[in-house]
Amino acid sequence: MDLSFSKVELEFRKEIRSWLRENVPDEPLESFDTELGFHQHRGWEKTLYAGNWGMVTWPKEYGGRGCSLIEWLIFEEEYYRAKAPLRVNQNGLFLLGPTLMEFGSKEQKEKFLPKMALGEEIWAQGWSEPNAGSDMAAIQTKAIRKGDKYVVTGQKIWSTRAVWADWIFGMFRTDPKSERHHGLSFILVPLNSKGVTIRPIAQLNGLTGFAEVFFDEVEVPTHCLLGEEGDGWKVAMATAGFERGLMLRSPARFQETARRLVDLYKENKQQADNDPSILEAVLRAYLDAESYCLLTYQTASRLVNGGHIGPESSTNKVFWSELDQSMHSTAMSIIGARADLMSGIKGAGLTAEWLDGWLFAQSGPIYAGTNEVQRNIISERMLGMPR
Amino acid sequence: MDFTFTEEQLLLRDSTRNFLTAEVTPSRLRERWKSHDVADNDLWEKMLDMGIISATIPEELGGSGLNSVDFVLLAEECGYVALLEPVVYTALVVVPLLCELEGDFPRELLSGLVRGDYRISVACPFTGLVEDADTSAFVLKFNSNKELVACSVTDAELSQIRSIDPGRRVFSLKECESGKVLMGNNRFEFLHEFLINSMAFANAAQSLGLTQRMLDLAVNYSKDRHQFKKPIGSFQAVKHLLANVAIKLEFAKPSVYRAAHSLHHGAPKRSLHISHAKIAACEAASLAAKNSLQAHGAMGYTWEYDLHIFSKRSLVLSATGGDLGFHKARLLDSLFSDDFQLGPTATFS
Repeated sequence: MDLSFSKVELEFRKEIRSWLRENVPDEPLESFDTELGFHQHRGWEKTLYAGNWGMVTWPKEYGGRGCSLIEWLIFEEEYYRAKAPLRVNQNGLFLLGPTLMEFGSKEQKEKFLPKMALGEEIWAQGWSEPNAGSDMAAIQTKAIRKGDKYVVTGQKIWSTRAVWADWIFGMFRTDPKSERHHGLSFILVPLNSKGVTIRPIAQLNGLTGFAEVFFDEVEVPTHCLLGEEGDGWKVAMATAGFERGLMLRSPARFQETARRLVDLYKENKQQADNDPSILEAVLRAYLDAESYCLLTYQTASRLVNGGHIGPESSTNKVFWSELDQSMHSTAMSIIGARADLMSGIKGAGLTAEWLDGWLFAQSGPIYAGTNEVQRNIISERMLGMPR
Repeated sequence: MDFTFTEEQLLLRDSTRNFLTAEVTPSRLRERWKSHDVADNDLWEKMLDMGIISATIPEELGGSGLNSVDFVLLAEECGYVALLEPVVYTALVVVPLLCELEGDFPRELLSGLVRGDYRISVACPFTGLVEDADTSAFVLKFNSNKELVACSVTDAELSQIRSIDPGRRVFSLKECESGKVLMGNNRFEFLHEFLINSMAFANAAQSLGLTQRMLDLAVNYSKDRHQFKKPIGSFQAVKHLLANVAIKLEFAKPSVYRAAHSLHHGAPKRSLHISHAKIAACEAASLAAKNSLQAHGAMGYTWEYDLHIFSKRSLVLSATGGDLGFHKARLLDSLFSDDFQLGPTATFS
């Protein structure tokens, strides 16, 4: 055990820190859930790629740097420290990317990964359907093979980033007679295909961060199948392993929120101390963000040493989503009587970032598998409790 | 950066686990409660032979020279079986404290421990109480001049105090002021904090093991016990109770391992890291005690069932070595100090 950074790791930190100092835009970009913001963020992805920072853990031939997971964590720390824009292509980079690495053919990797790293192709997720939410095996949208094409018919919903994205990935039923998790396939669909209709859905902040996607006999080339036909469930589950768990929400994000929370408390100490529970909540935010960082480094170290991720990684999502909720609700308590005010009086608007974060934190225990589903997974696969 | 244990460290953990789970069974612990034997000398001898008791004593004095990172996993295993013999305090509190001191007498005491001549205990810096005082030859404590002294137990007047944990044997000491001065009061601040840190760390590590034990008991019970024609472990309400314990435990572990590393390297932030570990591990154990009892229903509330061996022990470990209020206050002092670093790059800086 050695909890200090190596010379190489420190050099890497220095390099990314100085690049970010030069390149992170002074003014924050618009939300990527607006049309303008989406295009601004796409531009930022191109800037990152130009600096060779698109996806540092990927091999060089796909637009990466072949970095270790520890370096990935360092990258993320510097990224959040520098307040760099959020990654509009996170569905692609953090979720589909690792899946392609594991299950994609050489041609598929070459076709998709570099454009993903470049931000030229931005990805949406297509898992849920109106009758398949937590029960994902109830998926009904069909993709029927006809010659060298799949014909896709049905509907996806809550598809994150689908309003302006270029591609969508998800699971489709390729065997119409199959049931539950059999007969599903993992397929990539261009969103500009004929027969695709996208209906944006406004989220709690009024912006269209997700959408319904309708497929009316959409033709998709069979080379867009990832993994074997009928293996969709396996492909989707395999990548629920470490990279998804580790990459989707890196500790730096929550450590930055915890740091802001401590500052918010200090600036508003007198008001905050009216509620004696706040001080403890601030301490807990710091400790839990720290614990999340420690566990992530521990997991990354184990993987770097050739170990495997176990079912215990399913504890991650519950932990960070509840931490994020509790940090933001503590911030609301500190702000107190003006917590809901977005503009119009002195002091209002300063809290806009906290309000945005507070709304978004409410979705944490729901997306990426509800926390109830996660707790079932923990109890059944990690603890071995009966189904 | 490498936040893993070595193959050797894991092997030592495994062999210790095998030994302890075979030897330190709940029925053996219960025999100890009933009997008036003050110590399980047979067990102590075996652990002395295995080198666990002298594990952290330097090699030149006959020990194995293990550090806190090597020993933390063993302490966890001792917690798992709720070991009553003061093995963990010997290795993680008494020995490191003696190793901090100069002079012949501390070295002589360490050699005595290696030879198995006697046991040494320490007085709690918060309450002054001493665990296992009557089976010790010496008690290490601060006298009213803030000097660290080794009192001979034969000179002291002991009175036993009952704990809710039937396995805990704790005493107040009178007439134990004199003793042999090990260190003058010029190092009081340092040694006082050192002692608190050692005890807190030892308790945190054992609490991880206790949490795992209570979780295991509840999971196994939930598989066997049927109601509504199903194992109760198939009900989500029960599943989620225990999943919450698993989450707490999973996130407490690395804080304890980081504390072990900071302690070993004398890191400037070691006190904070230890307070973090103490809070995380003791809270995990406390949740395990609560939720495991709930999963067991009335059975868990009986004297005959073993759960209370571990839940009572977890109360002791949370209360001693600095209660959670002490550790929270210590963390808050730092958190709001001007030079305290926070944010995404601060953890390992």
